[in-house]
Order: sequence, then C-alpha cells, then structure tokens
Amino acid sequence: MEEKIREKINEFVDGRIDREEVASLLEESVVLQYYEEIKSMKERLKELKVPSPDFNSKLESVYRRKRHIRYAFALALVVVILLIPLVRNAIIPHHIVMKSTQNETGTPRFMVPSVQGESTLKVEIEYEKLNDLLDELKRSYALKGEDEKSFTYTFEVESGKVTQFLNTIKEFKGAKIVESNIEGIQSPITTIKVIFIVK
Amino acid sequence: MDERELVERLKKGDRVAQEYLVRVTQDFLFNSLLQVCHDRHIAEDIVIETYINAFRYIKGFKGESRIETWLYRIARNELKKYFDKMNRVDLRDDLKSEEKEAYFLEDDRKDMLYEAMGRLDVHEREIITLVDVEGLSYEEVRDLLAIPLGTVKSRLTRAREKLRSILKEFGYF
Repeated sequence: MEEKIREKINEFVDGRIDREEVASLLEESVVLQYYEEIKSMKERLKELKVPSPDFNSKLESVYRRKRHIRYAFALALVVVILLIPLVRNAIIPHHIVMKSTQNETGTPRFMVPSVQGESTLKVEIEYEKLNDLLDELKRSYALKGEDEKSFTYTFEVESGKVTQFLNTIKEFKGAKIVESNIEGIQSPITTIKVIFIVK
Repeated sequence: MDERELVERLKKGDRVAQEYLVRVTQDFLFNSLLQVCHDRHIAEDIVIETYINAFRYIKGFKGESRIETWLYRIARNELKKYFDKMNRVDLRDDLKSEEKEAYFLEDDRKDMLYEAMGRLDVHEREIITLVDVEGLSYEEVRDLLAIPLGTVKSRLTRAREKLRSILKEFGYF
C-alpha cells in the first residue's frame, strides 16, 4: 500500500477528511483491513490514559522540603556566626593565658597578653655605670646583640628569670627603669631589648 | 480564568493561579511523559520539575504559544536532560528496555498495546500518545513539537504502521 493512501486513511480515522474522499480506496480489501485495524488500535490507545496523581500536593511537599532545607541552612549559619566570637574569646585567649600562666611562682594569673618575642626596656643610667651593669647582666644572661651607638643591648632571658632580670636592673644603683612593656608580664618572653638612656 | 489572566497572575507568583494551572494541565503532562518514558516515577519527577521550572521562568513566557504547549516543551527538555544525565538513552533512541508498569494492565489486549508502544522509538511513541492517547489535533501537535504539519501526518502514519505491525506479531488483530 502506498504511503499516500495510508496517510489518507489515517486522516480519515482522525476525522480530518470525509468518507467520500476515501470511499473508493476502502473498496480495496487491503485498505479496508488497514483502516479497521488502525481504527480499533486508536480506540484502544485512549484506554492507556491513566489518572494522574495530585501534583499540587506533591509540589507542596517539595516546597516544604526545600523550606526546611533553607531554614536548616539559615539556622546553621546563625549558629556559626554566633559561635565565631565565642570561639575567638574563649579558645584563643585561653591558649594565650595558658602560656602566660607559666610564671616563676607557678601561680596561674590572668595577664594582658603580649606579643610573643622581643620586649623592650628603657633604662636610665649614668654613663660611667653602664659598663658595670652590662657586665652584671652579661654574667647571668646571654647577650644576643648590641648596638653601642644607640646603647641598645638585646638579652636572651629564660622564661622563669624575667623578674630576676628586672630586679637586677632595679637594684643596680644609678639605674632606673623608665619604660617597660614587660613590667608585670610573666609570659615566656625570652628576648629583651634594653635601651639605655645615658645621662 | 482565561489564559491571558492566568499568565499575568502566574507572573505575579499567585499561588491560586499556580494551583489552577497544575490542576488543568497535570493529566496531560503526566500521561504524555508516562507514555514516552514508560516509568511512573520518572514521569512524576519530570512533571514536578516542569512545574517548578515553569513557575520560576514564567516571567520569560511571551505568550507566543499556549501555556500548555510551553509547559510540554519544558517537560520534554526536562525528560531529555534526565536521560542525558542518567546516560540511559538518547531521546532519539528506543526505550524498549524500560520496565513495564503493571498498574493499568488489567487485560491482555491493553497489555499488548503497552508492550508494543514500548517497542516504538520515542518520537513515534510521542506522536501516537499526543494524537491517540491525548486526543490532540494535528495542528496542536505541530505547535507542541514545532514541526511542519506534513511531518506530523507522515510521522503519525509511520508510527501507527509500525505499531500495527508489532501488534500483528503479538496476534492482537
């Protein structure tokens, strides 16, 4: 059977053309059989249609799930935001305080945290006594650097001996600590820069 | 509610309009996709995805076609994306490997018809679904699939002929 004839029969089955247009074709038994089979197939195909589920309720549950995910995410974000300052205030200072409590007496004390490393001490001293004090300090503490022009000397002091180092200077006659950023700090500072102001 | 008003309300995110659209189009979308993919769960997922995308992109709808046509095109794209993602089959390939669903096969002849449909390629199955299952006119199919009317006729004739041959093999006639 020709493709054109098939197309015509199909159009007739679909009600697009009148019977008169295909009447002569349907006289042929092959065409008639084709027509009847296509027609019966078309009638049964309608029955393949099934009722659909209610997509409004399905969509609602999808939206609800998405809302929950959004809320959970927002909540997690809020918790994280709230936790950041707590962590910064609690954990980081704690870490520093833990170190700063290792003083000579072993008594834990809260201290203002200082920057780990070099501390500076300004000491007023009479010129002629400078060498004596330096000798005394050098006897007990390692001199790590010196700049004679600016009267600046850097000592390495064991962490437990900072107070002792300061006392050595304080008790030295003719010397006076005029500025210090280690006063009262018992943290494990190991390097102290002493700047002498020579009178 | 006429279509113009419906679209305007949808563009404003009106929930009532959204629910109305779902109510009037869900049967068509679900059945069309079900006959094409032959898997109820996939069809349901695609329909949901179609509505979500439709509501998201409704502002871009220019009204050049009917909203049902627009929805069907979104659904087709979603289905194609799904198959691409799952790497199961291209939309041009045969879907005969899909599992048979038992929920509507209450008699042998319908069972045969369903089986035979599964042996068609996806385009043949689609056009038969649109014309014979959904009862759309050739012109509506032309708009939905964006193909010429002549192609609708020839594709439908060939698809029906193939289906008829398969059914003959099954002893349907």
